[in-house]
Amino acid sequence: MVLFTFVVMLLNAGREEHTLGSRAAARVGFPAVVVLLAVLATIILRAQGLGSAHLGQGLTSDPNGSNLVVLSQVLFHELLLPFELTSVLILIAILGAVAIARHQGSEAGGSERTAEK
Amino acid sequence: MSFLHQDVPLTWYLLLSAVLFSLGVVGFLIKRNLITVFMSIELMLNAVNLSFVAFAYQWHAVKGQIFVFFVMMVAAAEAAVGLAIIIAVFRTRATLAVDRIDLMKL
Repeated sequence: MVLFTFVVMLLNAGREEHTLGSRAAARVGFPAVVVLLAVLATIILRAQGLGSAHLGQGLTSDPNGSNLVVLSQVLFHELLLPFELTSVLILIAILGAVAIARHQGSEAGGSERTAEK
Repeated sequence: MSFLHQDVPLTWYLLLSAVLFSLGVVGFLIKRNLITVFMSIELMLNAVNLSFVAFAYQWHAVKGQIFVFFVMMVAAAEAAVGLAIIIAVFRTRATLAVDRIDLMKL
């Protein structure tokens, strides 16, 4: 969300403009989404056997048990390799984001400079 | 703190998830700003995450909750790259209206 806010600040775009297609999408989309929500709510309300979440109780029924123990047993023992792979994924994503945003910017700046000449 | 020891039906979580998902679909259909459309997609993703984690609680599946953690990781990576692409698109086209961004290549 912070990223979104930064990008909104950075880009400083004007008001959004509506076209024929967007008005049609709004006109068809509202009833369609209402129908979708009604169908989903009906399915959820009719579903049997759904339990309830007890607030203030963790993952374990053991009163002395800790959520941290349960979660870390799974995260750092069984799923250690995927966990480490996500760190590589995040790193690649950061590098890719910087590369995309910077490369295009320098290219645009270069073309502007050539246009000025 | 008596409200900490109440039972919240799973149906409420699922209904909240459905409402959030529908709001995401509405935003995706109606808004014509690239950033708003992207935010709507993220909202839909998080709505599905909410129902996923609710079901994981229901079945006492710790792996399900860890899976939601991984989904959030991938969503963060996707958001970073997507916003970088949006910045690049805005620099080349000077617009964020999705109706004007209809060509892969200028």
